[in-house]
Amino acid sequence: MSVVTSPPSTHTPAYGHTGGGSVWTRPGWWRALLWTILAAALAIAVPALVRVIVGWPWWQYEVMSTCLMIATPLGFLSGIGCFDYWGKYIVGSPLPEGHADHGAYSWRDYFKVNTDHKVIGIQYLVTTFVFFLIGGMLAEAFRAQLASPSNTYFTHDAYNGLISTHASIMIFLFIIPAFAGIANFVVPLMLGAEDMAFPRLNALSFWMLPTAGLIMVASLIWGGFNTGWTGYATLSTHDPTDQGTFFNMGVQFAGTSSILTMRAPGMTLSRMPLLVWANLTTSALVVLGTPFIAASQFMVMFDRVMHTKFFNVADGGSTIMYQHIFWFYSHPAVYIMMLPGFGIISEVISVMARKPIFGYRALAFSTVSIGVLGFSVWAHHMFVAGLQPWLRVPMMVTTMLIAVPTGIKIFSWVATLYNGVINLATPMLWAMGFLFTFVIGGLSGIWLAVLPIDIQVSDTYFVVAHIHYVLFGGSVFTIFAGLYFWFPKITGKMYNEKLGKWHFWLTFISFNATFFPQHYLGMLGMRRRVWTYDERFADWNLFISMMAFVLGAATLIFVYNAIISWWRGEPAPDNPWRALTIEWQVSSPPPIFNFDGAPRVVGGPYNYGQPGAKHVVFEEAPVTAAHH
Amino acid sequence: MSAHAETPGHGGPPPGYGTVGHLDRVMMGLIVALASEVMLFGAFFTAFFYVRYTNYPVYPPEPFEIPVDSTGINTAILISSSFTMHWALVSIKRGNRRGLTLGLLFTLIMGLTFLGLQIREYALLHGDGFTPEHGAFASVFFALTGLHGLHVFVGAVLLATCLLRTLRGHYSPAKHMGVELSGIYWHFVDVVWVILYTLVYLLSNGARAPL
Amino acid sequence: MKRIAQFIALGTVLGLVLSAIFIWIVDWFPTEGSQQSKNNFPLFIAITYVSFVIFAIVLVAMGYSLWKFRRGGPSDMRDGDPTHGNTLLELSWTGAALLVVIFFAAWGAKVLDDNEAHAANDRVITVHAYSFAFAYQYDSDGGFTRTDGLYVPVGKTIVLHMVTPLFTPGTKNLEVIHGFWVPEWGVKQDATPGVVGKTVGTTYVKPTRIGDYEVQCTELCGSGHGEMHFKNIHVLSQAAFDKWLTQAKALAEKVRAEAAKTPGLAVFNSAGCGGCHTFTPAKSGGTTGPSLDDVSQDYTRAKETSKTEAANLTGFIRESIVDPNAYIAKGYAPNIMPTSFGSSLSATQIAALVGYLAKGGSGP
Repeated sequence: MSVVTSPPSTHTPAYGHTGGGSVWTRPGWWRALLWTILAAALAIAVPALVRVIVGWPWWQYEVMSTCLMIATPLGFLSGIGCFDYWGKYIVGSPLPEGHADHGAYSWRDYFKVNTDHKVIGIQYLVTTFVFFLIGGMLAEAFRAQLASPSNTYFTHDAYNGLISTHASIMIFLFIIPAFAGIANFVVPLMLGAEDMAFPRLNALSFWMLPTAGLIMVASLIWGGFNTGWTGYATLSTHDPTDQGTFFNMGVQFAGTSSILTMRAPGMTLSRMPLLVWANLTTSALVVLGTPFIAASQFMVMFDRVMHTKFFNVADGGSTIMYQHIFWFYSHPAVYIMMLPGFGIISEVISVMARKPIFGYRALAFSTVSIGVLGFSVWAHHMFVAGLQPWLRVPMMVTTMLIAVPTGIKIFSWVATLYNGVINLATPMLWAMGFLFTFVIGGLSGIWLAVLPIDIQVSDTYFVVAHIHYVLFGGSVFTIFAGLYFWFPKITGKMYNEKLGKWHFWLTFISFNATFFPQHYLGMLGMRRRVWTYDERFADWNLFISMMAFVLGAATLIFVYNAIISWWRGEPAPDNPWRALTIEWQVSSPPPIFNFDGAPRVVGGPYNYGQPGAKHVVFEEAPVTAAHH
Repeated sequence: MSAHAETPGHGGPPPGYGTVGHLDRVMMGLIVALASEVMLFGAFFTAFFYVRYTNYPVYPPEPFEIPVDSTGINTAILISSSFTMHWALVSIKRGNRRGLTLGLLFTLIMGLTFLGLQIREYALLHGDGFTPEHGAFASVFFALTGLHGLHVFVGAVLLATCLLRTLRGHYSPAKHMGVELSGIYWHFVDVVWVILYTLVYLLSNGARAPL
Repeated sequence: MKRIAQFIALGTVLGLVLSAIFIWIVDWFPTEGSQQSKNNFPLFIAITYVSFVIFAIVLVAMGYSLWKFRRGGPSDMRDGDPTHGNTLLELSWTGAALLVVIFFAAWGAKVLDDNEAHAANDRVITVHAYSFAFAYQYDSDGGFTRTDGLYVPVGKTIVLHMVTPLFTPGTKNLEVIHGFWVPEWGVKQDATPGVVGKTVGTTYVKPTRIGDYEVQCTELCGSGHGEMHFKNIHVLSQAAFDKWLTQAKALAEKVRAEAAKTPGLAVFNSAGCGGCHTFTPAKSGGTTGPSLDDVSQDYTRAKETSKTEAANLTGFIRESIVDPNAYIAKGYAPNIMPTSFGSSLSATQIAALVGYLAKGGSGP
């Protein structure tokens, strides 16, 4: 597996690579281990001391576990080196030279704090994929349970823990950060930038991800939090399994990670590829929306640990308030999980149909309007919750309106295909599969928007079907499209096309077989988040469970393809898809500092079909070793 | 900030790189971070509004009293500190190092005084039995003021850092980003407090504690 | 363009056909059991048709393009037609989408309004949801509560107030959110812990079909959520209902009188035992937990499997109240019954309750 992106001889790594103190004092895994242990010890000692001084018993589970969950990640992040530069800057120590921790020169660099956006992108993609597989296995576990109404493989609390952790992992540890990974790698290149605007912050935000992941996955050891990923109070504030704190802290770290990552680079061009529009809008959503879920989880934690009364109705609090604060973020969250995907599809379709994207301005505008409108629809998750009646119809109207910009996108993408010269390679297959499944998911959303129908199908398998059509058939299909599309650029190797097609078709068929029948089940009377169901649903559930296992198996094809191609695949040309955007005009993989000459944009990014059209030219400029 | 941007012969970034319009990217980063913080406070203010106006016709409920007057003095201190902060920034722009140092020092002292007085308020309220677990009205009160206090603490750390660097001779009329950023952050903290004080203290309709 | 008209025409036909097949062959709407369900049906059908038509049009356009404009092989290096857009087309499809959503939003609002139609003198029933059972309080008929199911007359609108108590009856555990759903009625509403009248959800139903239906809890409420479904919604003819009502009121009066003299029964009621347990002497009909009429058989079985430490029936009953997970009756699951009765009920209360249950109802 070749990851060396520049001849090593010109580079003299000094920061944390060789010498510079012992293994316990320089940034890295050993120091991380030491500092994590120290942080854990402090997390117990300090509250214990305070409690003893005040006169309380020194031990209290909720307080200690909360402090532990705050301190140990910080200890880890500090130990591995995320804060070293800033720490030295504040204290006034001499700073390490500019690019010592930038760029991958060996496989080891992927396990360190590295400020190169390409390295961080790969770190994100590999890490999120591990979580995808974990989340998927949780799904196979509860689908095994659901294969028959009389199965009792898990206790009720364990079952609830499985479904809750499955959703939380998929949302916070896979979909959202996977898009961050793709954006990290591609967007600076697309903009002609040398890196993200805040490379060190970028590195820190990546490292928060495995931290968050460990916390959430660790909760499984203790049985998993059993409140559903939505964590409604009062179940979450008083759940007897005490696992909610895992979810609370995990979300905080994951959320901070995405706020820090998805900042737009400080450079804007007037002819931005649509992927950049998508990521810009998504960044805004992340920055503005995530604090609300953070606040909601803090309040739940305070209610649990400090016995505050935010959601305690007996004492002036309100359980519906939790839902409002939670959904105010969690609805924009679904757009955070979809808009980058829309950007990816625009890129893939345009290049692979060899046509300018149809309706660029409408697509850019609809992206931004979805972002803005997305903040106005949250209560459609609460239609049966006991809302103030006057809020329901306006929320129905805003929810229906969002269908319009979304529809514009679908029609524009289909129109891009017309009169094109279409190459049905694997990325394009995923894009077409996406169009198919996302239309279904979007239409089932119309059903859910119409109040009387929502009242019937809310909290049933109809919603589960809708969720998976838009998140799997939507987001995950676009992630695969992006991964296959940019695989040659990221790794420098071509993926195996035959395996790619197998992966696609097996997934497409088993995905539809798994989730389409769930619309039917929900409408007919099967509610969600239950470990058993009425006998009359047994045949369909068995079928769905079997298809779910096929779906899992199909994903393994991708894992195999990715690994084997990265390791021993055919070397990829610079521009296998003959695309116009900037990232395809440099080598595969790109040089460590992205460009050998300064890029200058001279035309739009989608001018296929116009002979001689260029998007970018590179100025002549010498690169010297004085660079370091 | 980045050494290589200034290295000659690099074939470096094009003009305008690292800026958004007239804004430097570091400033842009701060503004984005502050937008996020506005939303964080927004979420807690949402909780405050919800709880206050649906469940408490009288806020705070009997027998508690809210220390509007003494906190009013604290508010005046915090607002004044914004002026001294501004003076510090203007000073360094003109090359007046003494003004910068004194400005930062006074701002820091006033900020710490604010924190000290807040802690005193908390202790007094605790003595009266007004603690966070005492009901939703108390929970939101402490969450909001506590969150703000945390931000003041961070601001104090920023100011102390600036002061340290000033004493080491780091800033100049051309280069004083640290002071600018700390200033904007400090003003943000001040504005949030004014809003908080108005909504939570001034607009309360329950009993008020005597000075 | 002519091509677009063709896509729309073909897509519409295809969509209508698929939709018709789906509606007639896939029997996916629950049996219509209420006026609300009846009001929803045309809306459902219309959305089904429109959704399938939109889907089919997109699919036809996509399929046609993928086939007609596929490249001629890896050596085909042509580019496509450099069109950047078509303002008229884009405005048209934006307008069409807008019209469709406005149409359904308006229709939906109207159906919602129709579904919530009610009069001031309609029967009011408060549905008490808690972990993990429903109880039904007949507010308009004297306020008695039934734990064995909801009985309603056909053809009359019922006002259903959904309420969750602050604490699980008999305990200090804060209650959580539950949902109430009868699919054949097309009616669903969450019961949120709250002060009645402020955060309570109210919904309306006018049952139109006599029969027995199942209610399900639709909001994840803890370990017993999966158990929380009961086939005890009974829609009766007006005559049968009137008869039932008279009997129910008389029974309620009898139980009230008896509870005044029997402390054990009073505790049974205040702790909400009847919501989950059937016990004939107390006239309760809950089915979440095992029937207490069978308590001596359960004791025998528990002794046989060595799951109990109790020396006699009374001890077993006591153990079952304060440590419910010690022995779980066949067909039931652990962690459903609250485990805190031992601390939330006083010793006197527990003694009275145990005695009452042990004597089959005629105890202290």
